[in-house]
Amino acid sequence: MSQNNILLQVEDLKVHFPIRKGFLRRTVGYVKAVDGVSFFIREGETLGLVGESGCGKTTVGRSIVRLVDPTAGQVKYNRNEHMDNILDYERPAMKEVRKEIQIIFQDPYSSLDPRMPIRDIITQPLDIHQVGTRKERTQRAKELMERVGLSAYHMNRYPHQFSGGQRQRLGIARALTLNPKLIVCDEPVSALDVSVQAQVLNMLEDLQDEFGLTYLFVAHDLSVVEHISDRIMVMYLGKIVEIAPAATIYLTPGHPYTEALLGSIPSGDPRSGRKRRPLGGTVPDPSNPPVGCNFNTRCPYATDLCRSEEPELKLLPGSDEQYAACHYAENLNLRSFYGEPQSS
Amino acid sequence: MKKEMLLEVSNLKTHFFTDDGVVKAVDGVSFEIHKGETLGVVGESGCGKSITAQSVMQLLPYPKGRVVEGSILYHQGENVIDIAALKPASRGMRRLRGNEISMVFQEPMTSLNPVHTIGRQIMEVVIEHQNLDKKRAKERAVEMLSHVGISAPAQRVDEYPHQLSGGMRQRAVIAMGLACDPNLLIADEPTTALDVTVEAQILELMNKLQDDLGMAIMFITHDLGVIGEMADRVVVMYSGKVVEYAETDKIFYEAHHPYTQGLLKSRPAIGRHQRLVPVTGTVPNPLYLPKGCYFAPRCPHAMDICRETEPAMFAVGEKHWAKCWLHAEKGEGTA
Repeated sequence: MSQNNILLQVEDLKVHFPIRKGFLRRTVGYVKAVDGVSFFIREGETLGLVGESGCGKTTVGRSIVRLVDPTAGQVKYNRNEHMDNILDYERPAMKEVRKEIQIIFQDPYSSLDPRMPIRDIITQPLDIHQVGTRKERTQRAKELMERVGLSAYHMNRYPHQFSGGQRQRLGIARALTLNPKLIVCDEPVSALDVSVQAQVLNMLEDLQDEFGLTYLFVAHDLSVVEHISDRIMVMYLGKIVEIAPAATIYLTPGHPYTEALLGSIPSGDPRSGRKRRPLGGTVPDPSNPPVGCNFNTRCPYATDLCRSEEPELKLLPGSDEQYAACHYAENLNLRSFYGEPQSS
Repeated sequence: MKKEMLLEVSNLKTHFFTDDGVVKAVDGVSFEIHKGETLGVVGESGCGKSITAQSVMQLLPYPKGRVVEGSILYHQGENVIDIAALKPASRGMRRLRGNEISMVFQEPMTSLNPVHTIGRQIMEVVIEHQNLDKKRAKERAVEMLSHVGISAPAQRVDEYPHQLSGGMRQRAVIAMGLACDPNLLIADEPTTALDVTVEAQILELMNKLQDDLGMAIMFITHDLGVIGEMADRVVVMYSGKVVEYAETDKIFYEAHHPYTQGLLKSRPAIGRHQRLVPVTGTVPNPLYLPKGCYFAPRCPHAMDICRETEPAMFAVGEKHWAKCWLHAEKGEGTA
């Protein structure tokens, strides 16, 4: 995996939304939804992105597809061995790139046009990009519907005639029509029931193997993200606090926030004897983040240093892939998902 | 030691009379809740778990939804009241609702009134039920807010719901539910809309309040992980029926019904990198339910009898019942 090419490289991405007030709608401040985020995704891997609501994870996903315009930073996408900053692209060039980068949305109810039959929903990307003849497009829609486990016989139905899980399959089929390389999955299973959620997760894994897809998988459910991801990125208040391989992060978290997230997951096993360790406090106002480390107001290990100086995301010693943004990442003996401190 | 009975639901049937036909949202559900314990009700959307709760509270959407059969016996000391026989707006029901039995809803944004302060909304309950004057009611509201861990309760009491975060709102809703010291708190997906860190806080709070106040909780959720931590006993529902009923430990380690087993296997678990085993297919349309066992079309073990005749609740162990023909030889029992 590690020798694979880098497909997407995000550098110092910032998305600041203005807060406007008063009669003249003057800008009185900014919500720094994403504030200096850098990461990369390798070809064929799944990068999980977790965090609480409002941490900016969806905004990161949307910036990559350019559904929101970043304030600063670069999103470099590998086109024929060239890392191009797609934020500089004009419309025609961006349209070309969009064939390769697609998105699946969270809510299968609001992301499908209720007045369009399924056939049109799935073939719309082909129409827009003028791929194939009408007949070929319909044929492609048939193939895709079968591939995501729906009967092509239902092509002329409308979204409301499908259940939530089926709609999410339609959303996936639509994302696949143009043979993309990268799919941003924005909470694709959050709205689904457990049994259906497992069906969709398995299908996403199969599609990845079959078509060599790369996923940025955004979700708030840690067990889902841990299940599907190769590496996991944790965000808090617009910044990355940790990036690490999925297998590492729940055993040896590198940031106190990751430890707290792991400690909050219900164990779902009455015999495990694992005690949940809730994190106190609430997420600070993103328009007025704390000085120093973003997490210092809730962190049990915070010191004066944390309250004055912002830590950088740095590689942890003894690891070649675990990065954490904490002054004390090397010294803290953080607890794993199971609750034990790491062996030191 | 025999635990004191608090709520006995037997053969409850709540049907919805829609233009398209009768939807049997709850169809013959039986369970009991003892004083001070937590009963988990788990199932996927549309299985009737919320409608069961609304039936107990008599909050069904009128006139479409109605309890058509069965009883909901509420034990009030020596007195036994059949809630199913009470009219939703009757004095008797209003005395119970919010006072002895109260409810916490899923969405703290929609279950609070946006144009009243949270203090006023808590005061309303205690003024109605406990005959307190305004001043004492407000004191009670402040006391409740501090009880549920809201900082600076004396100021928060005069704030509006939009001024609070999601977790704080849910705390306020819990404060409202507990203001009259109920014997039974029905929590309908109280943490589903919340982040995992906030969820952990709220669950811990509910456990602590249960220890302090001794109320029983009927905890409704789709999340088995939460059930595992909160419940003493569990009811698993599917398409309006109870399919398995047992102590929590048994549900997790000795699940007998294929649906329960399917739910357990379809959950991703941290550190277990196996392919998920989903339950195939989808929940049947409640207007066109299959013949026999409702789960048969999705069941990996379905036999001929399953497609013909509905199974009864068979006793499969001590205080453990499963509605499945696979366990018929163990003899029939009632839950």
